[in-house]
Amino acid sequence: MLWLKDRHYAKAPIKEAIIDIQITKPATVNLESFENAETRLPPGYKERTGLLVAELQGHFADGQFTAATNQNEIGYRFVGGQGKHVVQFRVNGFTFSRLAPYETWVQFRDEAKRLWDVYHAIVGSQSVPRIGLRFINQLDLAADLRDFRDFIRCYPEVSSDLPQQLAGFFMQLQLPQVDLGAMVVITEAMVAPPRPDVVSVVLDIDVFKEGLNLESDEEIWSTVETFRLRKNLVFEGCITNTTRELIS
Amino acid sequence: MPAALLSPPLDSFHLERFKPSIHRVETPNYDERTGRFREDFLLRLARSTFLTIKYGLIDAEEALARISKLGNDWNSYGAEAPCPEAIQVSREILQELGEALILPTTIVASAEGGVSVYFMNGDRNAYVESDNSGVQTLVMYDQQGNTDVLELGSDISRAELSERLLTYLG
Repeated sequence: MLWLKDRHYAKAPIKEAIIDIQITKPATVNLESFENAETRLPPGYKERTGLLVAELQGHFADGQFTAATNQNEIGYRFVGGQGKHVVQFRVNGFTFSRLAPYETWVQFRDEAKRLWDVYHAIVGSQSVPRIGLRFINQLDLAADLRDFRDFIRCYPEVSSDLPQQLAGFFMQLQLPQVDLGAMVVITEAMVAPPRPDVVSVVLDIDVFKEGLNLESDEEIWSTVETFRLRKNLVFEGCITNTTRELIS
Repeated sequence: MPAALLSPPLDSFHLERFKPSIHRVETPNYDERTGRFREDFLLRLARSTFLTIKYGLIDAEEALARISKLGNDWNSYGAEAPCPEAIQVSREILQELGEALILPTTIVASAEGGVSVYFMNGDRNAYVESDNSGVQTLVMYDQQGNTDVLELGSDISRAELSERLLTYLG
């Protein structure tokens, strides 16, 4: 399995890598806890809000769907790394994103650790019930492709009795990882392409585990490393050799 | 000064668009499944900066498409319809701002003829107007009546726009 750990694609289609760590919200942590967070962050991180959306609260009752923005603010968002790093400090957890161009796992993980240390220092030692590692890829394929299956191995199959032209799709697979006690959620969707000569497919791989009770950083980061190998395995399982050639 | 809060003032996902499908559901179980899926989908969107920008730009493109269908006198006060060039410039500006992780609050046709892209944060607002004569202007204003108007290409370059917006809106 060493190849899963060391495999690196020169043109990796990663648009965003995300580490998400939820904490059991303690009574002592509230929004005020993060008010001076910017001064504790590494240089270059600045708060950024109002220009990006946050969480919505939707309600579905009596056949009526209503949605409203979350009136109970839950945290702050900071952008750094020349706009390529986004970190959310929430009362119930921490999320770090690395946007394209993705560099290396070590760079991504170490920056996440650095920011987690700041978050951890603010909220104190808290139990971690959920950890997630998510990689969002976007494959830009030539618009005149013969068949998606030449590039993607995990794909919604249209009956051969039906017309094969496809204007769009959205597919989500929830795959239990029994050996890890974790879950993999694969979300695939056609999205707006960056150029008219390509079609774009998002391949969103989320490996996460709930019901944890982790307390040490060592346990947290060891879990993240395990998830990375599984994420790589899933990615390799979703693409073909043709795609490997495209991104190598 | 406290850092700005995460929650936005508006429904940036335009959940209205899900209504037609949700109204068609027939069984309580289907309702429940739909609701869970929606919550999960929204949470996944909110956690991802890339997808938030991606879907935000799709919504922006839809807004531009709607605006591009307006005819002259669309507001009953004789306003010119936005010309294709103004729509295209707005589209390019939105793409550039998207790369700087900035999404618009709303996009409207301008009564002066053109397209106005609005950004709002608390009591500070800004808009970029691309008018039909080919001029783009950044207007920044607050609730106290302070206004700053900069012409793109002469007062500031297009490349400086995102930084200006971020500095003003925080």
